[in-house]
Amino acid sequence: MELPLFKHNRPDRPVTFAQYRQEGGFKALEKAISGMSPTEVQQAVIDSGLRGRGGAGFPTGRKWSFVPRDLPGPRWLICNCDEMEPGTYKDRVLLEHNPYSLIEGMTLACYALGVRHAFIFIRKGYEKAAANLGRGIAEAKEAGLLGERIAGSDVSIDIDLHLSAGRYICGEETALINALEGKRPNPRSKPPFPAVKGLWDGPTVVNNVETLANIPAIVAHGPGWFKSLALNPEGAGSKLFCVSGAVTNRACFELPIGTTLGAIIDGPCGGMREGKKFKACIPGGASTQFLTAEHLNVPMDFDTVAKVGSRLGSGGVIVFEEGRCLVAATLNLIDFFARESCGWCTPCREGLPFVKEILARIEAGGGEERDLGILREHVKYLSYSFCALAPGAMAPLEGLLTHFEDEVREHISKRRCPFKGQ
Amino acid sequence: MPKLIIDDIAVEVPAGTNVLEAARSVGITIPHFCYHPALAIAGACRLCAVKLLDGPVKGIQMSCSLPAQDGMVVSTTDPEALQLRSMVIEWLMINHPHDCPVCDEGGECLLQDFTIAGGHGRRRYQGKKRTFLNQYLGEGIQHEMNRCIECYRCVRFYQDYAGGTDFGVTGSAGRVYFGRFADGALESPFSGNLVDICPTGVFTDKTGRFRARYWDYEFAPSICPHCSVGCNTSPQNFQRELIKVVARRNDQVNGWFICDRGRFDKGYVNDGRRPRQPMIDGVACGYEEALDALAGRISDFIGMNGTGSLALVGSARLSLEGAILLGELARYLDGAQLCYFADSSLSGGSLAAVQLLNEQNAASLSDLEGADCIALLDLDLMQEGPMLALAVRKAALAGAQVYLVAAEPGAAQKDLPFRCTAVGSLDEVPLEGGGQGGRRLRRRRKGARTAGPPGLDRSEVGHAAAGGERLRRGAAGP
Amino acid sequence: MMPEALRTSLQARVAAAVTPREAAVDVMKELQAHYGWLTDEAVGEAARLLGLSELQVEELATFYEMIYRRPVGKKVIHVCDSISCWCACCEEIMRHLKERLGVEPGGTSADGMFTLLPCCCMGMCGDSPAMSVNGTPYGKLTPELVDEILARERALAS
Repeated sequence: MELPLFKHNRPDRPVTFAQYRQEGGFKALEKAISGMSPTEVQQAVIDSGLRGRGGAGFPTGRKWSFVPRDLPGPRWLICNCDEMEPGTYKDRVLLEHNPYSLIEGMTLACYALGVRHAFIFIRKGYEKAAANLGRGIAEAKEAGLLGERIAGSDVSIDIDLHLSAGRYICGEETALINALEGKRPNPRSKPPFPAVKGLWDGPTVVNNVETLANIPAIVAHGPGWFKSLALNPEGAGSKLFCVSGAVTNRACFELPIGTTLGAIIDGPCGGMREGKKFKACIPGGASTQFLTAEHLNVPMDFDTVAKVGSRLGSGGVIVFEEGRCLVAATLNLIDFFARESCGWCTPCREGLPFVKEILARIEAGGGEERDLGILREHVKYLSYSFCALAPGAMAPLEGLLTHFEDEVREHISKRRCPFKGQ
Repeated sequence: MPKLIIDDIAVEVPAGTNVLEAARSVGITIPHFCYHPALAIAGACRLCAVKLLDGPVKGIQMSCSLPAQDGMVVSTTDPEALQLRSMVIEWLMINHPHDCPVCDEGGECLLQDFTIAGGHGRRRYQGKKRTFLNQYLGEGIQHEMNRCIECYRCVRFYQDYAGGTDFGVTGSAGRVYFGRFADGALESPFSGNLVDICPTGVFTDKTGRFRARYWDYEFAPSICPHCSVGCNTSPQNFQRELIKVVARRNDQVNGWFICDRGRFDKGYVNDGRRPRQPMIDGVACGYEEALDALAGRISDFIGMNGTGSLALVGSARLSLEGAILLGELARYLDGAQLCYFADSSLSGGSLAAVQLLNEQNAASLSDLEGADCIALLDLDLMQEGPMLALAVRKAALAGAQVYLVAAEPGAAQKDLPFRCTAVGSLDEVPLEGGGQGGRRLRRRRKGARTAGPPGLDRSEVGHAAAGGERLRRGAAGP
Repeated sequence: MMPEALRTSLQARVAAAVTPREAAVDVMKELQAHYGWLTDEAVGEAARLLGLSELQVEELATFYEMIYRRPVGKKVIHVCDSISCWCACCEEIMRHLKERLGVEPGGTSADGMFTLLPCCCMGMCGDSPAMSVNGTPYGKLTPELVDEILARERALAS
């Protein structure tokens, strides 16, 4: 079956507005505005089983349903394009090929939610994606599909771009709201949840790029069709998997939800690079636990990946080969998180550098037996930090201690990294 | 009124009380750094962890951010909560310089107390400590950033509570820094509260540095003598010298804070030239002797000129005790003139104001904080009573309409830490339902307040009081 | 000094924002593009445009990775050192750049042309190792390609 997200892609240049229209683009928007109530659009999204593609996998329709219908004042939709999770580049690839699915999806979401004014929050470094979106928004306005009185109706919706200046924490939805308001991007405490009190204290929905880009297809072809795209009955839709590390083809692929890890690596990725052997992978961006060779048969779907102790996350698959030191890899990941902590709460701000110090010492041959205990304490107690950054950082560490404890112990007992200069 | 159980003690608290305060109400102190009753909840330090054993919420929770609810069963001594607290202390002590012997906060340091209470005693972190450069923050406050535990209390007070804009937090991750854009004196007239509110020694009182330890001081509950607001203070005295003044909590008056004048302007108390001994014609003597001499001379004067020629001159800035004694003396010397003002219209105005004040229309600072509409008669709030300005700010942030009746609106408005509407006269303030303020008043049944300077004459005072009375009656409406 | 045209366009940006603060990052980025880095003077200009204090601008400026509060060279090189680029030996690219430019990370080459900085994941994981030069991304780097890029960027600058 034809998958919805990459079907308009051209190999070497972005799809044009005319091409997108010709291939059925904006038909879903016209269909919704002329023949569906906002509630019907929301119901279609609920029925489709679409889950947030940014990493948390929360059911999108349910998130929308938390927005109170009766509050006065403006409400907001924000598209989260602050894609800074290491190993993740799917939103960039999508938008560099096609900004229109997102624009159409956002317009549909605004219609469903009663939003007049939406924002796309774009990370630094995604200027090409931002340029595509800027052009796409202008074209959609020109065609009467965005702006005042869309498609001749009395519905008016605007989308603005907000370009950021580079910080991982801005991807956390409440930090993103602070960033958009021009405040320091520390996360806010929940409750109140953004759906009730978010941007400028108004009800706010924050959705990922890929999530919103799926909505036109759901509205056009119906929730049943969307569900049937998945290979397993629990799943729904397709997923963008962006692969990096030790595979032959490092690229972003749209595959049905439920495709197994092994099928991704051996299929579109063309297998392991230079005849290397698979050792482990991080399945969904830096804040997910390692999967090992025994997990190659796991269908890549939110619930099944969670069942084996990791997360589907953002779909950023990072593949490690035999001979690759996972203590060093985890150290690199922790270093990232320690640097990207916003500095608000103690466990994250102070605990991550502590973990980093220990891992660096172990990797350098100065590890001690008691370090394992200290690391485990951090895995447990960093889960009580203010937001999900530090617990996310602990996921690969927990994976290291679960699946590769022997490797860590070998570092300690040999007083050196066993993978270096033997 | 939620009912819950904390450490096997049944507790009932007003709705909206957090678990930390609920525990405190039955004498259980849950260690905390970022939480402060006067400031918005931050949830940043993660020290106040408790475990919810049963009820609507389960597991480890931060007691500052958790409203007490019916049926909660809370343990403040659960091993997991204790372990988390111990780790929080360990994390905070990773970079703390352990310079307690040379820190002025020593002995009154929350970090010392909770480090002991938290049970962390052995260093496991083997890396280096991070260090910062300090800033010059003026003559009142000494800055020592290396001691910082990043509880964000200072910036939450300085910017959010007091409306200052020249002090805040920069950087991120392990490099957050609390300071100014560049070296220079803090601009807020409430900056001294950073000393009280910092749980450790990042901000210490430069005017009393390295003089004594907390346990050396003599304390006495006191009232600030600098203006008529009457903020509660605790002067700290060592060897007959006033070393520091700190705020003393009084929720009806100043809450937790005082202004910088009240805290730092104490030079005159310790001034060597200040008379410390009674003297007669420049010659030192005993108190009894001096009083006898004074009585004798007054008596001689009256004998020659009559009581009608005697004026007893006080001052509006005289302490309450002094003012009462002066009044007593005037009553005793029947016929003597008692004056407090150089100008009779000022005197008349003050007298009228005092006569019009009664239990119904007198407002405390906490009344002001809860008002829906505030009219400020032509006065320089930051001079007349800076803490009044903070109370008005609190009301304004909560949505109160604030009007400044001013001849020169621009000048008086410049430094106020809140937004207000300047009007030409009290008549322009929508007191009786004309404006939004009036409508809200009636709906919410909350009083409105007027405040004025001592310089108003009798008719102005009467006018203002009448306005206030109209407001009060309006507020008590349907 | 800020050119009048830039001031006018930034004033328009602030006026178009829902609240002035919403435009803060845009204003800082534009001023940085003009001055080369966000100088103290630029912080002052931003504060005036946004109705904030200098400290309040500093609170934002020092949070973001791509706002520079210290002088930088004509061009800033960011070398991604996150996990995917690490797997692709970004350390070797960094070593090569340090050698070529004669600086440590954070330093600026003696001719004032390049400032070398590490950065977090650029979203170029499929083309790792990656770096950017004044915002232009480059992927699938090798030491030879890095030399070519340096030469090209140097030529473009002069």
